Amino acid sequence: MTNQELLSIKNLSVVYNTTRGRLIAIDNFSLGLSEGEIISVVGESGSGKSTLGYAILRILPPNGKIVNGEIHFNGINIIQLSEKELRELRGKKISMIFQDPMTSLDPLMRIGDQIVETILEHEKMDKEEAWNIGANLLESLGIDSERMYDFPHQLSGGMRQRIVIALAIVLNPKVVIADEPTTGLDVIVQYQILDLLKRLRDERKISIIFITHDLGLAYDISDRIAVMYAGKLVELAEKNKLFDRPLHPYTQGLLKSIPELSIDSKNLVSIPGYPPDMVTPPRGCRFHPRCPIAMSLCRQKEPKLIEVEKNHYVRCFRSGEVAFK
Amino acid sequence: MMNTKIVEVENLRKLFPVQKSFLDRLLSKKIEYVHAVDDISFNIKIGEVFCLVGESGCGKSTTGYLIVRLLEPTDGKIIFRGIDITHIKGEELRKLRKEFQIIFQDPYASLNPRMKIGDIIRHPLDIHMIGTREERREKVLSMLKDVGLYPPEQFYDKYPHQLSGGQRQRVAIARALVLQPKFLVADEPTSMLDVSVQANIVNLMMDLKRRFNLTYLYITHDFGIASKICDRIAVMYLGKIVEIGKREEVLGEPRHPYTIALLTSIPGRKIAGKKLKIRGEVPNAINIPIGCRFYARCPYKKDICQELEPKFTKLSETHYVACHNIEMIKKDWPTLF
Repeated sequence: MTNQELLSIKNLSVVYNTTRGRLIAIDNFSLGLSEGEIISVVGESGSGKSTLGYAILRILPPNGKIVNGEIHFNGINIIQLSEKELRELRGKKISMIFQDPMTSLDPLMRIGDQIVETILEHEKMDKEEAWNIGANLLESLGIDSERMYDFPHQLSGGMRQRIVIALAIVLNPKVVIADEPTTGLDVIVQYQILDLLKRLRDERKISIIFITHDLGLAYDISDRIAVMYAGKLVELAEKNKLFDRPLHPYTQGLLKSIPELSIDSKNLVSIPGYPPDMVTPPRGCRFHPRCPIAMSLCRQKEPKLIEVEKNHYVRCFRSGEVAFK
Repeated sequence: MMNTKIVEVENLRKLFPVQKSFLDRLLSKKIEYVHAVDDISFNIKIGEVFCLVGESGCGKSTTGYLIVRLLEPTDGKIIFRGIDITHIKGEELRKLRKEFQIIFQDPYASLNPRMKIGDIIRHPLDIHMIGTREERREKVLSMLKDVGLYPPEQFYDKYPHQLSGGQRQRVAIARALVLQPKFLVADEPTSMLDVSVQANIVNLMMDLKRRFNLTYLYITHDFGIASKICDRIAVMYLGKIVEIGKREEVLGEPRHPYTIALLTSIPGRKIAGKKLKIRGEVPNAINIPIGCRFYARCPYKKDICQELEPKFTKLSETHYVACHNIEMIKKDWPTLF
């Protein structure tokens, strides 16, 4: 990791209290994000990837709690901030793009008014000035500024997600957390949204944490990829390294199970079993029940995250023992 | 000669009237229609996996529903094993339903939450009055085994909420297959599942296909999955089939700009390099343009495209493309891989 870390997460643990018991959604998670970097956090449902985004912005649901760790942004520990200080942080320093553009826009407000409201919440200026900022922003994102007068229902899914992105960056944040921003969008629109996010990074030096279940998308957009399984970071590496030489058996399985387009192979490999129930996760390594190379140690003891090569971290006792084809 | 086609679709159309406000109805404004499926023809051969691919709103699911007669077609013909089933009703339709079944996209919505898994799978047997009580139970247990839900006795008495998404979809598959149909429509059966589970379900379906000699119409927006399972593919855009052909033809030498745009937009690194970028999104299917439906977004458009809707050009015995610019596309995109 570089020394210029803008956002650094150290030993973060988040628990949820559910009717069925206590659930450790994120367990001892560390990650650093540099300026202008895009990191993808990849995992299946229940891996804790969305919780990570909520924890960074301190917007966990009422039954969720950060029980351990630090989240530093520009030297400030977010975990110790008061509610008032957090409001200064959210949107202005770190903002979030939510999964569903349908529900993250107010259906009863014009797009322009929503943008103006966001600006005026944080900046002192008159309404007209804020409106102009909004209109200019939309134009710079390739959206007709006439859209300012539209209501969300008048927009297509892709256009709505572009508006959500505009709202997320209107206050010039340094970090944007994008939580599955293209789920529910068709591939062509998805591609357009990825292009837009990459432009924001290139033109505005925004750092992005891109949360997704899709390794293919992660490859397209990010510099580094972090793979999560059942609340644990299991592998972290530069994207080409991760695709060329994945060392964790879960990453290997995930890569093989992407139905990648091809005409030579009809082979679709799967990982047996299902992700674990997080209230009663398996002992030892959480992946061992589904792991093709698990040994008895894996059932007893939890492996640590180890830097096996420079900047390539893996949590597995047998990392790299099985070559990836 | 034996008929090798299990399903034949001829000039099939489905228009949905657009809901009007009371005032508009009083003023008797013209009724508008969504052209969900607009004059499509294709056939599916016995033992084939036929994939219908397209973005949301292209009419692919509607086509599936029409074929299994969950929707009434506006126009056209559906022939199943040589019998015209377009307008059959009541008892006759119910009897035929034994032979064609459907698996829905959302396993959270397609299973009755108040019914036990065993009862859900047994229900079709009850309706068609097949076997004795004991035989039905045995049949359900063996179905549970066939779809990989072990131990079957335990799953029999569970409720849907106790199952994961992948397990639920297995139940839906068991329910669809319990009547031993010949033909199955699978409407995006894995789009709600995690990637690692997705492959399990697709592989299970392919395994069952071999064991029970099934034919599939597999509806998906995911070209990756289609490339792993299909024999032939049809690509739909705004209610029309724009390209149809064998797997190698459509994936390897696509000739419709929309197919190429879809294929090259797939994330990941297999198709690196050139991308055909197109602008905008799928327009609504109410005011259909006169010429080519893809005109507004097409990078290859020329004047004729706006005036004349392209007909199918035959590129091989099996490969058909509806585009005026095939030659130019052939030059720019000789092969995709």
